[in-house]
Amino acid sequence: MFAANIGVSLGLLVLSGAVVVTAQQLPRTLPGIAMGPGVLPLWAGLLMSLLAVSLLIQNIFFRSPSLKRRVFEPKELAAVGKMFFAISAYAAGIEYLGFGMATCIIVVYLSRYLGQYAWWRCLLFGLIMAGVSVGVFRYFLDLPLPTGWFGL
Amino acid sequence: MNKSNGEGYPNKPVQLIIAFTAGGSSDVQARIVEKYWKKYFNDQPLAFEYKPGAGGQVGFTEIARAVPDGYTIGGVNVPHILLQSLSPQATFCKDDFVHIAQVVNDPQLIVVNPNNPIRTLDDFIAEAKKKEGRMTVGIVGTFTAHHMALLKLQDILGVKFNAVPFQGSADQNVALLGGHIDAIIGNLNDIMRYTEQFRMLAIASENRHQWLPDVPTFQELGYSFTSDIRRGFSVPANTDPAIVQRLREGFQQICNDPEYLNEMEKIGQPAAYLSGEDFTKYCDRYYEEAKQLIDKYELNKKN
Amino acid sequence: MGMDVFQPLLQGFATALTPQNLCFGFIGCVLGTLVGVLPGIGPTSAIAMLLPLTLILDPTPAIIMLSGIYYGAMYGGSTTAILVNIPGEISSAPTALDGYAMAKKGRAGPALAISAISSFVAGTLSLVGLTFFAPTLAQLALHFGPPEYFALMLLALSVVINLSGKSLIKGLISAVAGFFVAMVGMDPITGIARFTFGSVELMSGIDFVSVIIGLFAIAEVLSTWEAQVTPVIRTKLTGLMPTKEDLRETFPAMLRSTVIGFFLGLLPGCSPGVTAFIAYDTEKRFSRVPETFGQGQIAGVAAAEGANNATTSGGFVPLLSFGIPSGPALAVLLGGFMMYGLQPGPTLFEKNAPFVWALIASMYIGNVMLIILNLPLIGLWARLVKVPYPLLAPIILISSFIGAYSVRNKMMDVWLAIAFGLIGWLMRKLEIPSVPLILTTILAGMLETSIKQTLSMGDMGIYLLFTRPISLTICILALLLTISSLYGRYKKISLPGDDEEFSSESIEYPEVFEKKSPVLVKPRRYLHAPKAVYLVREHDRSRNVAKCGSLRMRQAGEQVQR
Repeated sequence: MFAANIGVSLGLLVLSGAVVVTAQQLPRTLPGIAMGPGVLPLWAGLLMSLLAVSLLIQNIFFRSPSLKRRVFEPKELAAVGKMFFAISAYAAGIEYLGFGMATCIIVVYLSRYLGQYAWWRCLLFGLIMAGVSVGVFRYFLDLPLPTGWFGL
Repeated sequence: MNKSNGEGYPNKPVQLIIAFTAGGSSDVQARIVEKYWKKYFNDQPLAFEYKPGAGGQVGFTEIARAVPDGYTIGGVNVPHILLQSLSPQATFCKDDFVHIAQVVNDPQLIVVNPNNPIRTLDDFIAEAKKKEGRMTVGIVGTFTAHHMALLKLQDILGVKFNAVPFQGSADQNVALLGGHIDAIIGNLNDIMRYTEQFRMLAIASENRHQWLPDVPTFQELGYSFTSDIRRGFSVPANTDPAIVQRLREGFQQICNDPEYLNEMEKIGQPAAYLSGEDFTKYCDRYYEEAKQLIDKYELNKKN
Repeated sequence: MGMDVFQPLLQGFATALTPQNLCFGFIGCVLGTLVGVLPGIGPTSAIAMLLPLTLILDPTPAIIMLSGIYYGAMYGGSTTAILVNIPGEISSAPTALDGYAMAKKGRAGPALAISAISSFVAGTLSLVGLTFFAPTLAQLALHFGPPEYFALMLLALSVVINLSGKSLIKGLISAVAGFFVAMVGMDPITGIARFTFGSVELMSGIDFVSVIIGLFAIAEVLSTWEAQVTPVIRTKLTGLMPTKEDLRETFPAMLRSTVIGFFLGLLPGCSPGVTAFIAYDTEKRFSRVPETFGQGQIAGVAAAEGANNATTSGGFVPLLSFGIPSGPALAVLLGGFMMYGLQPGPTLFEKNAPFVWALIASMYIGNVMLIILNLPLIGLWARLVKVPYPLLAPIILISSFIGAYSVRNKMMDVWLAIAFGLIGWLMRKLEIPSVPLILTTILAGMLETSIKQTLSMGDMGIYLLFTRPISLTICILALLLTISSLYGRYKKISLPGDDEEFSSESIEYPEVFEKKSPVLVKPRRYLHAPKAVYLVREHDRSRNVAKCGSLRMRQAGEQVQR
């Protein structure tokens, strides 16, 4: 947790620095308008960097014994990475394969991977979920969901 | 597809992009057009698609970049598209659109709270001079029709105001009702709801409006000042001229349908048809005027 | 005022009770509950999607139905917040804090029931306010100009301190991060693009829906993959209905949150999300056991749910009296009014009296329908937590994606939600609370707008904030609240056996406080056994004895109740 906190504060410091620099390029006043768009980002950026520094100081000088716990286990990271990839692939799939087909695939994949059900069950579940969601959202509620290459 | 001519157009549903949220004034107006659309366009439906955001810029960009096959048309607002194309963050230019028709002309008014001793435009000018630039006038956003109107008005009346920008007409009206600001520049469509609570000093149109026959125009009072928000329909540039012609004819028929005019009055939007050609001419004129104003006040200056 | 209201109200009931209107009201309530339950799809998009129906229907049934969606969603929003820690609406984010903690202890049923009851009580009471005092109250709301809104935003920001969890610095970091999120897009007044990286889509900003879906729903899916176990509680459900004691405890909370929600709801711009947070914070201050908030305090659920419902009724006051929508959902509803040529405003009560009173009457009926609809559903919903996670996860994912997509019908918002999912997961791991971020994201736009307007009105000076009585009062209140929460934090930290000892994350501590003297029972040694969950008989506070159940490993996936 200790190292993670230091990492967070350093990361935030960089982020707030970037925000402050960007804010400098935005006008701070406009003709007839008291406060331009650059003011709030400037202050928010400065405040964030102040907080980042406080977190840094707190971690270096006032170490608490309970902070020894490790935050990220490699195994965990791998699993979360995989899930994140699956979710992103689903989003990409919606654009190219169409909402219905992508939904079917992700449902089959998730239920198979997480639940380890038999293939036919996963497939059935995927088809049902895709069918129901396409029916409800695309046709009943008239939401223009992407259709992708195959129009599904 | 229908490259050769407008014959048979449309032969499938036409998509209509609305750059504001469902239920907004632009949508409500377009819904009325939709009612008559089928009658004049081969019984094909009009499919609404909402692309709200960034004061309409998201949707307008979508219209400008749509496939110019005539099957995507869009609702546009003037001067929004003109001012947005003039801003440093423009994502389209004014020639990216071919206008089909203007359907609404919503003039702007100067409005004060009736508790205010101001009764006429002359009182208003006198008061503004007395306050030496501290008179607060509510407008909607900056770089908008309201903002331009305020700047123009300052020049024409020879006074200075303290502009208080609001996010929308509703907020602006509340602030005036509560007496937190001295006056607002508002649109007829938004003011009609409050005719009893507000005092309208002058209307920035060429003639008095039939809904507010007692409100004088600026022209009558000796100031040459008009300002309004107009709604129209457009297609992306490079659309087949034959299709554009077909659309223009159809809209002309819709806009002169007495039932349509009746419904427009019911929703409180001042219908005013202009043909595509005339609408384009108007846009060009406004564009030049706005460009000068923006340069004069250095609105585009960074920092 | 007063008596002359009954006659038209009775006529309104007569109209609202006709089979057609009753039927459409019911459809609206059911749809509202449904969109409330689904994360992401909110009343705004639902009302927008159904708006074209107004071309077919008569005005009265159509507006009754669309309004039903709006207040019905507030009932539904709490369901997923309690069961799976995913608020169906932003206004249910504070509900998740205590509701989910209750569900983890097997008290999902009472949490759901209390949120329905609180919604009903607050919804109905504030309707009474709407019925009798609408014009007067609308006048009252007009006293709030930009400086008053600015002061109000400061007051709302003071809530952040109480939502910060263990580390104040991390809570504040989260809050400022909320400002960062809100700054993306166009400046609310000048329309100048900030932090958009040249993207047209980002110019309209990051929608709350993507933020909340990311931080809650997608982060939840990511975290559970990480643990490879079902997140949903395997605890046996201990009773579906709240006990008498629960009701007695939460009743004052319902009343307080009604008052807060309704009066703040009168102010255009105060969305149910804002008022729910303020009511939650207020309840924590009133409570004799503020430490229990966030750990399954039923009063917290009641406060948040009561406030968001009271706000919906409050919002109808400026809508009907002035045609001023106080939030996006009501703005779309206003569009519905316009389609029929019904111009809201003072004249509406005169010109279209039968319509207005039928609408108000339908809302009384709708609230009754909703509670009848929701109470029996609790058993069903509570069983939802028994749906195997491998099947639940895709459902959460699909509805999240559709919710994000429906914001603007663009994939952009889905990608943003995914990005926020990753951020939310990181925040959980790093023990940075995500709730302050959500609160400031909601507040930032209004804060910035009101600062700008206050400055413009005061000729570049901020003095208006302190020279107007209402804004000065609110400012002082905000200052006092900030000081008191900071003092509360200081006292808690200096208490022997402070938070740190309790922070071993995998152990869930139930409250073992004596109600009258809030002395913490120090955890004993065996509690430090890793990954163990110890259980306590919850209702048995009077004895102040923790009845420890058998210890079971969490991996075993099963816990034994008592």
